[in-house]
Amino acid sequence: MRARPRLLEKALASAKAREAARKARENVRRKTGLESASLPGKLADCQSKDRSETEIYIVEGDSAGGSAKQGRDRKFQAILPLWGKMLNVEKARLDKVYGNDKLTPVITALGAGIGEEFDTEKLRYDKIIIMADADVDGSHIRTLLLTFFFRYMRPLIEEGHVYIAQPPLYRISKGKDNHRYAYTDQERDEILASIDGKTTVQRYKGLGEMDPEQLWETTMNPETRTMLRVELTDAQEADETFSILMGDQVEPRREFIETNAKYVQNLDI
Amino acid sequence: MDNENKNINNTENEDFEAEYSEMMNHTEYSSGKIIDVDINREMRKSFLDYSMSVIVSRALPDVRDGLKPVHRRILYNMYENGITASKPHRKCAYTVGEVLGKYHPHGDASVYDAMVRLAQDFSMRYMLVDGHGNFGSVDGDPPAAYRYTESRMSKIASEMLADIDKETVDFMPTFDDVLTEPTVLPSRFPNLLVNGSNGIAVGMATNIPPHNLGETIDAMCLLIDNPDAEIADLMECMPGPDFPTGGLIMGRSGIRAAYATGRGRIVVRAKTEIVEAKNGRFKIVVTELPYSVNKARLIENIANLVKDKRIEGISNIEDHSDRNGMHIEIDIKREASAQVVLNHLFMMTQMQTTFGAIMLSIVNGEPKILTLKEMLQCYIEHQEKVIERRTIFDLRKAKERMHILEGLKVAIDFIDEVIAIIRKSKDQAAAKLALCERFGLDDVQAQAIVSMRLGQLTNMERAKIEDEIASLAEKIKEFNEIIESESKRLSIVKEEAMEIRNKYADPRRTEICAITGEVDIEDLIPQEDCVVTMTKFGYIKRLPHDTYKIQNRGGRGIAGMTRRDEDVATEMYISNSHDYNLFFTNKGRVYRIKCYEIPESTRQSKGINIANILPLAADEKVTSMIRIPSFDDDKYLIMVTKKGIIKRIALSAYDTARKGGLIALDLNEGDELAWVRMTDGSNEVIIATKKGMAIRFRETDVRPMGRLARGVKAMKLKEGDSIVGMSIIEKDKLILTVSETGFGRLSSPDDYRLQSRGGKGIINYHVLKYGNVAALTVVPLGDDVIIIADNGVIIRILASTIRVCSRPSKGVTIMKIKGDHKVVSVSGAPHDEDEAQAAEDDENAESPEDLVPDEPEQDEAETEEE
Repeated sequence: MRARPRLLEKALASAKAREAARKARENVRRKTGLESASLPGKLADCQSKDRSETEIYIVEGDSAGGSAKQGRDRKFQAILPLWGKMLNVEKARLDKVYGNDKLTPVITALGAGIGEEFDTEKLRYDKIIIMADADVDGSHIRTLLLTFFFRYMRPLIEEGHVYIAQPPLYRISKGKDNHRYAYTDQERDEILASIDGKTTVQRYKGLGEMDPEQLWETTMNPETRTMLRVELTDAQEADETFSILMGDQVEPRREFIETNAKYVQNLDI
Repeated sequence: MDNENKNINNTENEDFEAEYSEMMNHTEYSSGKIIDVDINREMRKSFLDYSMSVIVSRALPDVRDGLKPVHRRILYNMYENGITASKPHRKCAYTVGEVLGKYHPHGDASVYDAMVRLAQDFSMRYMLVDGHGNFGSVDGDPPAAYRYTESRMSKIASEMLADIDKETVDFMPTFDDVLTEPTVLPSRFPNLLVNGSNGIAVGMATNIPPHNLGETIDAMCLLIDNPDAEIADLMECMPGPDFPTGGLIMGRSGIRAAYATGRGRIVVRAKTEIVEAKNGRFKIVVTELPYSVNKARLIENIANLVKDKRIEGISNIEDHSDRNGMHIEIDIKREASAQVVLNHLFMMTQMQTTFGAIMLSIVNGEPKILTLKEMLQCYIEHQEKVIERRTIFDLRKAKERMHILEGLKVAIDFIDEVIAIIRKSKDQAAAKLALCERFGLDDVQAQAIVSMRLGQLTNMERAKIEDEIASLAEKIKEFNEIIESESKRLSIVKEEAMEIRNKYADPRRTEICAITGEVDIEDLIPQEDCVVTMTKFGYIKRLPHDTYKIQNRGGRGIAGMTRRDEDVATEMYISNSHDYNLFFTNKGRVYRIKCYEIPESTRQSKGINIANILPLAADEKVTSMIRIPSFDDDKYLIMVTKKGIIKRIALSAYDTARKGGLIALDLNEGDELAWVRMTDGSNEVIIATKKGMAIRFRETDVRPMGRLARGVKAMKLKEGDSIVGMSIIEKDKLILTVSETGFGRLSSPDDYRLQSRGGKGIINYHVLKYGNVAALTVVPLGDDVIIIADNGVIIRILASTIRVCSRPSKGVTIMKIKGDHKVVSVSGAPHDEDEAQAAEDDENAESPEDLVPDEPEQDEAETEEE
């Protein structure tokens, strides 16, 4: 009893993990009707219960969550707003991850548990779509969420359920009702070149700048949107990347930044 | 680990480069598309976008103006809106809103926080914002909301922006392409060094201390005059950081490291004074704190340390700070030394902090750690460029003016003809055209002529124009010279910096203490021998060695401790104040501290409970203390439990700074760890029992074991017997056996023949006749023996005064024991030379001659104690 505290600690930690996962799972089982109160309060769920067609948008910030809720198609699109920067699970201890108030809503909303208990069969949505601002903080939130999925819900990525929404960077309008969206700087220049006369260019800094209708049209409508599907081709390589970029060792991260600094594309000045 | 990562980076690089650009280029955004992207690539891309943005345009200052983008935007916006030092203050909300809307599309809090910092006299050495209202305090109080506070640029901030209208710096479009903003400010004084900076980016951080303006400009001028100046030369002008909060910097080596390599640890202390109060007690008055220490939290922290008895000697702490400045009073108890308390405060609280300087800033768009010299060079280069661009601008303006003046001069020279042409012309355009044709002028000149007032045709005006032409020609010549000559530009940089120095420089606030070499708190503690004692109830104290005076055998002793009635001293040894002391507990744990960490106390005081020093469990008691001058590899520790288990382990196994202690050995149920001794690997040990048995064997009979091992049997014990002593046999040392009844005997080690471990041993003492054995220890004849009885009486005698006789005889009376008392502890200590005085003090002592005679055993039968 007194001799092996580390073993005990380990055993306790994994017991805790199992317990958390069980709770997360149970929370989802009782899903129908009024009982669905156990789902996170911020989740705007969709009507369809047919998993093959449902989608959940994990949206950065309350200010964007609002327009996403109004702009969505409630039949099959659910919205879960997240506020502020979430926990870096690569650096955090296990029990911190389970108790984290930013992660719990995600676990509960997805309904498939976490860690070893994770089961894609129980997944409540087919597409998990990360929708973050098209700025560098959006990039950061994306890396944090991907780290969480990779470390604690890896089958999600292996089976291709994780997507990244691509909101436009620019809105180019001519006159009152004539406008187009550009998703890259290059595209913006092409559009500008093709239009004669006076144009105005709006640069989107955050999703909150878009009307619900615009958000639907550009980013959420399955007919017109573009999304990136995250796939895992080399798990070992990815594992290394995550520990370099998100781990607690500073030196390898600095090295990565130094060697790759020249490839940076979107510098936010 | 590092190597591995390097490999990953290298092998991936080309791969990554190719795919990265491919991914970014060929993604076509048409309609309803899903593009597969590998998680590895996506992570790298997103992470790179984020980290590089944070590094180059958020968290780190530019080497040229020492500002992060948010600061630059605040200052530029205030300048643009004319909220300068000569204008009234304006609401901070106004500036925050403007900055957000025009330049900085992030959170309002980030802008206001940055602005508040620029206005805090305890954060900035030279404030760039002149605040009006509550901008926070050193107690960590938050500033008032931005709808209350008002601000304007400070006087010195205008020097940051001076000449910005003369095209001295590059501008770039703002985030929405509506306006332009400066990429850097002209920064006419070396703001990065003067105000310092700190920030955490990704994978790197910066922490540059503030400096004195006058000193920094002097160093800069020195470097202009002598570009080969070394760090040592620069430090002549600029000896070190100068914090707005004052304080003392301890030693120069950290500063030198920071200046020479870009990294250094600078120890900063509070400014304190020990003053005597009216009642004769002392108090410590703190008037300045180290940079960025929160005063309220510090006081709370000290109060907690006092409450937990981790700092002794403080009776009260009060904060009397007011508008006249900081004033914290720490009252010292009568018996405590203010200096010792102060040393403890420096050691344990933020009254002493370490400023970890990292001179990281953005140089040409890349983060770089610079030396002081490189920083100054970058700044000088920037200033030179500013002067060059300003001169080019001035030259252009002068030339333009010259051009117009030349036109006007023509007009005045040919005034009648000019008037005639104008009168003849149909309209202004025709007049200009005609003038151009007639006099070879251009449109600008012609326009100037037609705009002339009649009053300018006077003779006086004509002279004026000629004068202006002459002086302009002079200026143009000068400007050209400046543009052509780098040394001219540099001397202007120097000249203008000196002007700023004369206007704004102030005396240094932080004192630099000329302690050479590393300053270590340990250096402040004298190396001295101390007697460390501990009682049965765990009260520990440390006394200067000479407090214990030598007495002769049979003396009654001096009261060693005033104590709780039933408490007795059980452990005692002499240790250097800088040695490590290991504390072994009955639970088999070991803790390590330096001897000086044990509070020093007077002979009469009971000491403090060991629980204040070590994190002991409730029923855990220290049973053995051992001093370790150094953790040598070839040294071992031998541990013996009360029930006769022995364990040997390499000393180095305990060389750990773990505050929580380590497991020393795994104990059987009901057993206790009681003795620990250090050996050199070839020693022999002797172990004695209460019931008079003893065994001597080689330590190699016990094989060395790991930290968690349980040990082996040392000797066979009879029912009811237990171990009372364990010692290492040493050449020229004798074995001292002391009975609970106060008798003692020295015997030669040869008297105890070598046996093997685990036997019953041989008879050491006739316990039925003379009483149980209290202790056994090994002492050299020249040493003193300190014997403690359970009534707290301590006696100290020279070992050679005890008779040497063979085992198992009774020996002589060493201590007169009264009533039910018993001898509880026996330990050796180096002999004290100060014998004469001691003898004087002890009137009852027998004469030394009496001590040696070979007394027959029956002589002692008269002793009453039995």
